[in-house]
Amino acid sequence: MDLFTNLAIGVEVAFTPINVLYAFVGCLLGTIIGVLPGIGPIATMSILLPVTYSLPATSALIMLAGIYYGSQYGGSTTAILVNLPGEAGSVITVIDGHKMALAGRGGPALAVAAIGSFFAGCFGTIVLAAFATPLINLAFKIGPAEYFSLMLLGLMGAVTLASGSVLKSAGMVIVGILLGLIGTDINSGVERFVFNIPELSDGIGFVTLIMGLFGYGEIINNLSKRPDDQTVLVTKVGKLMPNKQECKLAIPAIARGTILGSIIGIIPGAGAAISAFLSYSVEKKIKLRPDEVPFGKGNIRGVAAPESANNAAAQTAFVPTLSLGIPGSASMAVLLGAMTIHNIQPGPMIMSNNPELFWGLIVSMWLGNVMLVILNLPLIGIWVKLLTIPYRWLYPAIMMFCVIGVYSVSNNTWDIWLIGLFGLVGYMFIKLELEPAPLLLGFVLGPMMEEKLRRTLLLSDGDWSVFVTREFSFGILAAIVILLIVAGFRKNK
Amino acid sequence: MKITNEKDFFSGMLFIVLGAIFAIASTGYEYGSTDNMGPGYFPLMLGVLLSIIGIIISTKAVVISTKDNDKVGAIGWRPLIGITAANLIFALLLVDFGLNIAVFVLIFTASLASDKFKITKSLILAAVLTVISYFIFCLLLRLPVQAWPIFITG
Repeated sequence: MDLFTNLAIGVEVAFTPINVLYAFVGCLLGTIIGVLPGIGPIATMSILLPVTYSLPATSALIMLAGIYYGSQYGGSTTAILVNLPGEAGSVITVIDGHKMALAGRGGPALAVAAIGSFFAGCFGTIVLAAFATPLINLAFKIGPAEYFSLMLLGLMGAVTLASGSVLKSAGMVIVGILLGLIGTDINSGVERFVFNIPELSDGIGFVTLIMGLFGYGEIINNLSKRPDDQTVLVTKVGKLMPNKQECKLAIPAIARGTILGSIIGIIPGAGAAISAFLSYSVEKKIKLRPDEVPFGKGNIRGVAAPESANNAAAQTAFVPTLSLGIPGSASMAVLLGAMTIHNIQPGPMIMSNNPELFWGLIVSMWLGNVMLVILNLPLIGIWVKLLTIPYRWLYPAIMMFCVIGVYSVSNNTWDIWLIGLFGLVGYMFIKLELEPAPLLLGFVLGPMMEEKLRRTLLLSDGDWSVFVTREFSFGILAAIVILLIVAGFRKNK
Repeated sequence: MKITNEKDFFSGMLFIVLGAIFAIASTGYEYGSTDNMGPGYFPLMLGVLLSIIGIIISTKAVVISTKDNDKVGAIGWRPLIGITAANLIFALLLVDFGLNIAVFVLIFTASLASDKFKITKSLILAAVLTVISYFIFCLLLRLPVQAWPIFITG
């Protein structure tokens, strides 16, 4: 089977009216919730996860992917207009994007962000489709040692490239793995860390954990901020079309951002945030034209490049997620969690077992990108209105979706108690500047890592050297070392 | 001894305690051997590693002085208590009193967490969201959840 027959299968699945509808609803809901300040893609996906329970698996995943993109787009709108990055990927967009909005060029900033994201999304989809088959073939050949090393690379990527302290992120990853181990051990059947609570024998619910840490924790933190911390909302957007000079600057920046983002996104652990950050520093290195606004003052390249990069990376991040079952970022971890809820085991088997799901999802991603451009630019006025909703009306609604959602997963009030507890923990993490995203990644990867480690050492008779004597595993471990060295340099600067 | 970086110091402490809890609990499970790991092997390793990381972070927070002395800052007690209380009450009400009453009380209690709380507005918000949740979750998504109190519907 070549790429085109595969894509044809995908087109057939994605373009059925019902799936087009779900993709649309996903994009719409994702944008609506993603635009609301203080709710990033992870919280958005988890709030809307219960909505997809009753759907067939393919439609559910198509809708979730739509929600994921929608919330990313929405996040950049918030970044530009309110100076609040909705998610890590648009932190860098805030710098020049909001300055543009303040200078009355909010329209072009939004337009360039949307068009750049669209272009990057299309390109990323092609990369994804092209890389998926060879990567899956590779995935069938690699053993547990390579899997373990790859997951380690993903976790180390998340730790070293995170914005905060490396040690604290490393600690959070381990806390996540340990939380993931709670429950019945699949190898021995022993219940671990259950402490005589029967509900814990199935482990901690994934949705409960994210809603508590990301949903409640953020709410408590937002409410305890003083009013003077709140930022200026620019409601006047102006004309959308960028002028000639802005086009000239933005187009090459979009291209550079797209390529960089596509490459970075494939690496497990290095997600949208780092690609946006890198592409911004690349743009800064390129010499300013005499008539150009300096960076930090509202340069359009500072919006175009990182927005394209984070969207390209968001797209290609599906490569490791779908082909290897290793999530590249916390949002991918949410998507993987959703797959398991729908009884789909992520990993190399997915393409042979559910080809229509796999390719349908890929094609619908492209479709989702088209819809987002259509949704975002003409409807910008509505999104701006959404931004003016006071937070005191929003957070009770968010809470409502969280508790009912979490209850609908298990039909057990235990999960409602637990979400409250994780809310307190999440607030404590924010207070201590501990990032919850690495924890989530560890939580998802933990049980898998333990299993692969056990298998590896069982096969090698307890010989640890197998991780370096196997070529491919050695290569991955070498990449981790390089990553650590690079990160060390960056932090010491 | 002076804590020069509060956030890091308490983060480290948290890791030390969590690591110790998991490591100690792990000793209750079979350790096994490297070529045949028991259920206690992996978590014990990680628990110890976590505690070590915690010790390093806390020590650095005491030894190395930072310019701005990173303080944890004031704790937002009102939102903290309000949100947690709303959550607890919802959990208590849901099964016996049904979704509608539980949501109404949840929204109202949660509104108390904001210092911009106004009683009439909060009551209206609670009523509106109760209707919305009834439509979405009971009528549209048909979640298997009691909408009204069981002592009324039986």
